[in-house]
Amino acid sequence: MAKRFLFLFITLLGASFIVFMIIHLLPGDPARILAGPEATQQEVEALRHRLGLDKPLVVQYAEFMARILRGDFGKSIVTGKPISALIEYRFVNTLKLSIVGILLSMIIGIPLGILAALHRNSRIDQLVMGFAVIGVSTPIFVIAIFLMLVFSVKLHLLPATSVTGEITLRHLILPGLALALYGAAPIARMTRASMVEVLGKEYIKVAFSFGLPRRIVIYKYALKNALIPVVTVTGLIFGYMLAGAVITETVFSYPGLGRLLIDAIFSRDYPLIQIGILFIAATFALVNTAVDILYMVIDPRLRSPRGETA
Amino acid sequence: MQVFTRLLGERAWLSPQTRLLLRKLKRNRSFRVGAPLVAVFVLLGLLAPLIAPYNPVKGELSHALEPPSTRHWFGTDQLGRDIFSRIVYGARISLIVAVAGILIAIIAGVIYGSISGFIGGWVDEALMRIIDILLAFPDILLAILVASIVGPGLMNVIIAIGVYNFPQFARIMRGAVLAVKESDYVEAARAIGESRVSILLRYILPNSLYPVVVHGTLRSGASILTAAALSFLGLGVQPPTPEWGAMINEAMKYLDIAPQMWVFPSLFLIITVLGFNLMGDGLNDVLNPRIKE
Amino acid sequence: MPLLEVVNLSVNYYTDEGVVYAVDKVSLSIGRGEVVALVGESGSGKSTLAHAVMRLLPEYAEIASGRIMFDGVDLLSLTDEEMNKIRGRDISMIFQEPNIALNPVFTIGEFMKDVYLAHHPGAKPEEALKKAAELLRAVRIPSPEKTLKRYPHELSGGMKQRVLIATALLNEPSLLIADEPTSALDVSVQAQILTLLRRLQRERRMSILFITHNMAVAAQIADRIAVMYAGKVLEIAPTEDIFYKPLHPYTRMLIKAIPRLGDKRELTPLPGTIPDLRRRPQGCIFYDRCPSAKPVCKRSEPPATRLGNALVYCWLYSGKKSHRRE
Repeated sequence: MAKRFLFLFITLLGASFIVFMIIHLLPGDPARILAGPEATQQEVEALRHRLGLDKPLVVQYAEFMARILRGDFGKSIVTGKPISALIEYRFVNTLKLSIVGILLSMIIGIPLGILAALHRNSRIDQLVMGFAVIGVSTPIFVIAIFLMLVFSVKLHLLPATSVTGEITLRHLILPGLALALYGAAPIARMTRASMVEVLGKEYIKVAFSFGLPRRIVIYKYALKNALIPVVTVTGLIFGYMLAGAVITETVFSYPGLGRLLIDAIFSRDYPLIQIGILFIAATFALVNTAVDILYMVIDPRLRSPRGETA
Repeated sequence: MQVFTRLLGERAWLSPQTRLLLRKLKRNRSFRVGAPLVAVFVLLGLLAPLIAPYNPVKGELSHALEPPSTRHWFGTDQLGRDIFSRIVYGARISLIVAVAGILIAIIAGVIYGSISGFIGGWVDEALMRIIDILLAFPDILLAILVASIVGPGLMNVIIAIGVYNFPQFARIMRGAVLAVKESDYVEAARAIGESRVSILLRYILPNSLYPVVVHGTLRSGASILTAAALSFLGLGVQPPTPEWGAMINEAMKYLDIAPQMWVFPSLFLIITVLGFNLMGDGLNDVLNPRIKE
Repeated sequence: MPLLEVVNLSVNYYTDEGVVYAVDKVSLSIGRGEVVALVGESGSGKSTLAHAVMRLLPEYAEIASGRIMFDGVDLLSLTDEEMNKIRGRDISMIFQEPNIALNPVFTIGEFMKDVYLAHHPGAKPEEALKKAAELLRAVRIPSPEKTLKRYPHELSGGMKQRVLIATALLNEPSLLIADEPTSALDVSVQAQILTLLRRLQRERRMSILFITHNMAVAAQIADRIAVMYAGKVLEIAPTEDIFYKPLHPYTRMLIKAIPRLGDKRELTPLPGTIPDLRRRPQGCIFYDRCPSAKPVCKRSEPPATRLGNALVYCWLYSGKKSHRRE
């Protein structure tokens, strides 16, 4: 368990380092980049000194980390406004969207996977898995566009109300559904594969041999084992959600961190880019750690040092 | 397909194991559907200049936004460019991106993984930690990260694809090295003084061949999607270059009046990636057999 | 009336390479309180027979013909639900690999409770756990209450097998089918489990169908031994008779092959290999490996012949002199 937290720490450190290095990896002078092409040489030097860009790299990194941990995310080059206020709102929106996305994908994907596994090699199985493999092959933006057209043409749910900037449940439905369909496909495939494997295990045959009713054997004995790998994959799928959110937000003009990040990249707002990526990477790392811990809770074999998965 | 497989199957120098594998591949349903799709895609890409009836980059504004017709099979876009030609050239772009990107990832991964596995010890640990950190980023994020550093453009997309696929291949290669490193025949080879490079080539590479091939196929599909996503966001291939994702991006403003602008690139994206995924699944079934269902 | 009577049972497997005749017209009976061992090489069909009785065969297998009479009822005529009631209550089975037989994510107690409640609907969980602890004590597991809270991976192989035996006995079955229960265990643990089974059998007057490839193990526990080969039963006789008066040539080979202490001879492996189970020859299935083979053996299958307390399927004994009874 401690190892997991250590790894999380190292990952966050590594991620922050990479993010920090963005400015320095770019071709050209970091101070000039931050100041903008119109700034005079004096202004560039002033900025350089102010931001501490003339200090050695290690010191800069330390100062960067200190700033971040204080909550001071710096100022946007483009708007000049502090990033913190902007990021919070957007980040929460993206989080909402990703959570809706992953929950819906599990609600759709897991039962479908179970269904396919129980009717292995039948028409149902082929149909479900057919949809799943197409789902995995479809770009998220195509799903998003398709949904938008279908539901906007019906004028059901507006794609986004960038009008008020307020995000209610209605605004989450379409982008959330797009993410859900995108994530349900790999989850369904994973669930089916896992379920099929578990159903072939000796302990399931033994359970039947003691006369346990079919319902209990499948939905208690088999399912609990089968869901374990699915849970671990969930962390990965959440990453898909975050990444997919970036794209989905663009299609639906949803005010989230993803769209902010893309806009920042286009406007070369490097401080904003750094913070944006850092947020996403940190979230991903934290979720994965949480999933790993959850995995340890679910599978008793991992709790005691003697436990070894066969 | 028949000719192709017959050519492969009757080569005298193919070992019986290889021939058995090829026969199994031929019977595998996923592979049978996927491989032709991939073949069509590759052909489209390779023969683009010969197949495309119109110039994909220059259009006739007078014929803008036309629906599919006998003149323009897939219709035209907002600049009057023939969509079919753009699709065909788009295949070429995607082909280049996927192949180049994956090759970079494989080569880099093989080198990195081999070194890590061979040297072992704390060097191996450290190198693998780096890989783990890289893997801690979600796929597309890594690609976006790279794109944000190096900027847009085809070459940079290839680099991004190479970078974000590389960790997985490094892991596979290292696994293969470790699996074989301690085995008897490698020890014997080293005892008689066979050079490390030779050992690598003769024993380790073949051991890693199957997982790399399977993974490479599956990642090709994913890479095409990622490249399309990057281009869709505007971070990848820039207009007027015809890339399927970029085409869909341009279609966004004309969704209701010119659906042909987004439908065809989408269809081709789906079908191509589907082909790679099915082919990869088939390869996986045959090369990594599990217990029969 | 015997407790279990298998009449002319045939089981086929359907594989990519064709039909496999795993069990071919086998007849066998087990009396109340009797221990019958089914002995044979791997591939002889003994495990298949056991699974067939429990109707636990895999999807690609089929019971082609025959009847399985248990307490006067043909098990093959029951619905799935009715059969499910019998499994774990009237007939219980234990298997060869205890290490993979228990669900890793549930405690021992949870599992045994489920098995008890499945056959005592309406019973309280406490009652189930109490019975479970009782049985764990009967199989000599130390600290039964603690063990109920453990997970399978915390127990050794021998302990796991005891747990499985305890679970099998929870609902007081009249027949226990043991499919090579000791083959995967250490020799010392083997002896313990055998002693345990013998004691439990005596105490509860339970019938046991004990499957093994090891003649010596069979001798330690069985009242009668049935010798199986390539899907057919060749000889069934009381244990003493099998060892001191083996009738069938195959049985003789098996007995001779058992190494004895002080034996200075080389181990005599059985010559030849089991035949391809995809083909059913016209004559005796053992023809190819039999040292006493006669032309009639190749032409037709030997009928059952009763000699004293033994039943043997061999042309050597089916002449005009011996009794002829099917």
